[in-house]
Amino acid sequence: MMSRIDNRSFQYIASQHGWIDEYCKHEPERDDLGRIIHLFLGWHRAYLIKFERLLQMASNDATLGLPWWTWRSTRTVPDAYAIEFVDGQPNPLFKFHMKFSGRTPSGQEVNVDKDTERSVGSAISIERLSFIARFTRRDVPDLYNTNDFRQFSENLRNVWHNGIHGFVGGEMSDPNVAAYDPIFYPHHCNIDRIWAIWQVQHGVDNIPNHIKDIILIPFGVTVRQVLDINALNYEYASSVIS
Amino acid sequence: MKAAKRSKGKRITPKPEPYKMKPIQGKCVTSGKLSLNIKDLEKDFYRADLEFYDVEKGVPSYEGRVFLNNPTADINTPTDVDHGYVGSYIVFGHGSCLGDAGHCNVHAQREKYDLIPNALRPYTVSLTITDQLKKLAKKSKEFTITVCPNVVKPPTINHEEVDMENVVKYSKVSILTYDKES
Repeated sequence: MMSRIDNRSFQYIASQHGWIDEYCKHEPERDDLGRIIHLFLGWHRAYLIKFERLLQMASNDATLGLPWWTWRSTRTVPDAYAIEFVDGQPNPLFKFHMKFSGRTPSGQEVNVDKDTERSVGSAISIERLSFIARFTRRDVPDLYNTNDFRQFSENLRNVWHNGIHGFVGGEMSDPNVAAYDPIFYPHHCNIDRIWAIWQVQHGVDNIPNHIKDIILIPFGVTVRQVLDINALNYEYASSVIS
Repeated sequence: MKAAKRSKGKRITPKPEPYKMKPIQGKCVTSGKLSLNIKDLEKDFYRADLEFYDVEKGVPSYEGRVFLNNPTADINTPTDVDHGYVGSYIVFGHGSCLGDAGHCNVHAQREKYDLIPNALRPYTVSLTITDQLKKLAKKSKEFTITVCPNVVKPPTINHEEVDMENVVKYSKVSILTYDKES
């Protein structure tokens, strides 16, 4: 396993989301003119692209693509990520050993040296999430009915995105360490896929102009540069037979 | 690909296992009374939103179940309109803080030159409750709003004592109605 200081390592890319670098974007923010900016979808798309490129480099396979977890139909953690051992060997998609250190605001030195854990469905089930989404009319089919990017982004984030983090539980319920759990990536890939479908229906460029030229830190690209997945050389299959 | 032959009356898709719920309930929070100044429920608005301002992100993630005019609601209260339930919002908690002194201070405004605004800053949560409000407003035009949190146990990585009780915090709650003229 590569260390945090190797910038191609899983430890490194996971540390860019929450602890230690804390670059991730979730809630809307305001720019210096007071305009609301929504970077949740753009930031995570850039993050997934970087991760996928690193996987392709590590595997020497340019066709390797991130899988996505369609939680509305596969209502539990997919087997590939839920099975602890494969052929007698620990499954690297089941958990990850976090190892890093830092200091709390009170000055306490903290050394994190533990495996990621999950408490799947202990508080929020996918059935419950599905009910909330339908009840509040923010289920995925409802999301495609709006052509307002901000409304789409917030409704997707607040129910299914936040809810699946809570459903998996453990590290996934904490943004500081969520990206250390390998299930983080297929979850966010599905979020990205839903955005891509929405873009087909409502326009690739359908995002407020004042957001487009914001630089997504630390990736060195603007929101505009991650809008078109075809230009980014990837796409989502419309159906999968396995 | 050949489709699998389906025998009559046989379930092909396995039924999901029953969900075993182990709720952790924090303290429910009830607002003061809000009055709805609407005469004709069907005509005077086409959409109603419930907005919570300055919702704080504490350590744990939680589902906030929102009830109108049911101040005794708790985590076991049925989530249907007859019990005043109008929807839930889900907070992706912040977890505990790691960083130098001041790193996790919450600032109301984005600071100058701050390229990475503080993720702890409170935010607005909005729920559209049009149909639910029209139904409930037939009984009363005054409402209290109760939020009951269903708390997700945070990972054991937290090094501070986690307050699982007082997770629902906001500065103000409003009901906004929209009429067809605006």
